[in-house]
Amino acid sequence: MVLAGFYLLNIFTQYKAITMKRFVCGLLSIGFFISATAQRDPEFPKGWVLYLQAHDGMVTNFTTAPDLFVAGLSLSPQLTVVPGLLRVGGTAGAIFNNKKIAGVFGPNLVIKLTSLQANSLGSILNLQLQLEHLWGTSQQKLLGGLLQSEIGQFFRLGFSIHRDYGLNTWWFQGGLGYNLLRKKKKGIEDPMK
Amino acid sequence: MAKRALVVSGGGCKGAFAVGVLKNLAANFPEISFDIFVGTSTGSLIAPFAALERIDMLEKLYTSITTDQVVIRGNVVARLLGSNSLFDAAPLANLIKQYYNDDVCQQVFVSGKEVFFATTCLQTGASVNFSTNTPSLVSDYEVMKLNTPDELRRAVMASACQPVFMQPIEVKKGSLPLRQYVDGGVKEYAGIQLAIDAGAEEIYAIVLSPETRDTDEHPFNDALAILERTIDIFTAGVGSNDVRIPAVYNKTLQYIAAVKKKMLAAGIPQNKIEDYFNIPFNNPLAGKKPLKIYVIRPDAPLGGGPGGLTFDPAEMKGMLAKGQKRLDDFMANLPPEQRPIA
Repeated sequence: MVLAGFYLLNIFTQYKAITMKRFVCGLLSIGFFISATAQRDPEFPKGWVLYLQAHDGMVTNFTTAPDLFVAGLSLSPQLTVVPGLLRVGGTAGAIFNNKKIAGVFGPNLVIKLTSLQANSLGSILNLQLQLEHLWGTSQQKLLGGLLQSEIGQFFRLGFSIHRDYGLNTWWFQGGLGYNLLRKKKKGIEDPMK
Repeated sequence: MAKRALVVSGGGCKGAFAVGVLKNLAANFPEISFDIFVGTSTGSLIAPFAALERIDMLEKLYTSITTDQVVIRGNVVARLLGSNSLFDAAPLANLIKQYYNDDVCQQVFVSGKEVFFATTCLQTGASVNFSTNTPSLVSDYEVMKLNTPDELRRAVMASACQPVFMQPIEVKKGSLPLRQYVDGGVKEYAGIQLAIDAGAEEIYAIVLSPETRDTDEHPFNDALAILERTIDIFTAGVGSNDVRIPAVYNKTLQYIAAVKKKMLAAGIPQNKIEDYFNIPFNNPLAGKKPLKIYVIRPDAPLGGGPGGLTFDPAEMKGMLAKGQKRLDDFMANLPPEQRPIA
């Protein structure tokens, strides 16, 4: 991991002389570096999460007033494909905007950016970036991302920015989420079974 | 014939130091064999293989495993709300099942050695020692006999599971009333007194913390760091008492033996002397003789992280080497009259 880090540093300090070979090696080093770091992080464990999210905010095109209120409720099932690093999944939900209710759906990808550790006891939360594309039933085509914090692997809060390139607007929202698949206490655990 | 006991304290990965001591004992003092084995926590992982004289297995175990093969660290909030412990000890359970398979467990049962695993019962708060044999002469402890390989593995696991960090274990699975057990080190870090009560007259106690207190000069301004430090101080305190109390007990026996000798020299008949000391009361020293207790411990802290839960093979190899060297120094510094009886 340290070697990969040094190689990474080398790549970026000599960026003027980047060749294809060097670029590929750099990408591999980045992958190895992130993967090695991620393996020790308890955040993004294997398995599924299913977030129920409530969000609201505004839709604007920066040119005409007034900005429109938007609120919604959505479900996001996501599967960890690289433990400690990456989830993929989708979103389906309903939004209220411009006095109309519309459906939205689309795929997403969540990258863990960093996590907060409680010394050697484990982690507390992570900061993640969710990239997604949503299609709406009222001709919306939303491309954007959510920067959010996931606390205790069951609660998320953050904000999102989407560009609706179908209707030429920007969406700014804040939101909260709760993982419906959160592990609940099931009595006595027996690691010996 | 006088019984000889091996006592190994708790200490997580620092058990590698004990393995180093045992490796040296087996190589250079093969005449020293043990009848009684008392393990607490990591000592319980060591005791059965020590009873079978399989130091090779212990060396393999204590120089190769990593933290990930012992516990899985998780999200603290998620584990506090959704689990029985901060860490998941399933990897350690798998390791115990792998190393202590049915064959190995049966060999321990038929070896004729008395192996004790120190635990603490969460329901009763009592120190409970599980034993592979029908226990002898142990009156001050709750001792339960292990009957099956699964019970033996569970006893090893329970003894090793540090409460809060790892899940409590039901040793007699399904028995009622429910009894869950955790690390015996909560109450007794090194079971020297148990070895004495089990009839040992010569005890080798491998204690995995140094005699001098571990000083940490950095400021404590973080609740979790304070918690970890408190656990270390608590463990050292329990360990210190476990060594000190049997030492006081032994000094008392030695003192009484010296008084008896002086009385005999003064012309008092032996039967009279015995009569003076035979007060019709619950005499805790009745029938006890002065013991030989050898406490072998590191000179300085061994490392291994809080609770000894950082398993780093390279660091553990170093601990093993320290254990080997420590035994050499220990034996070399023993006065001739205190040398072990072959």
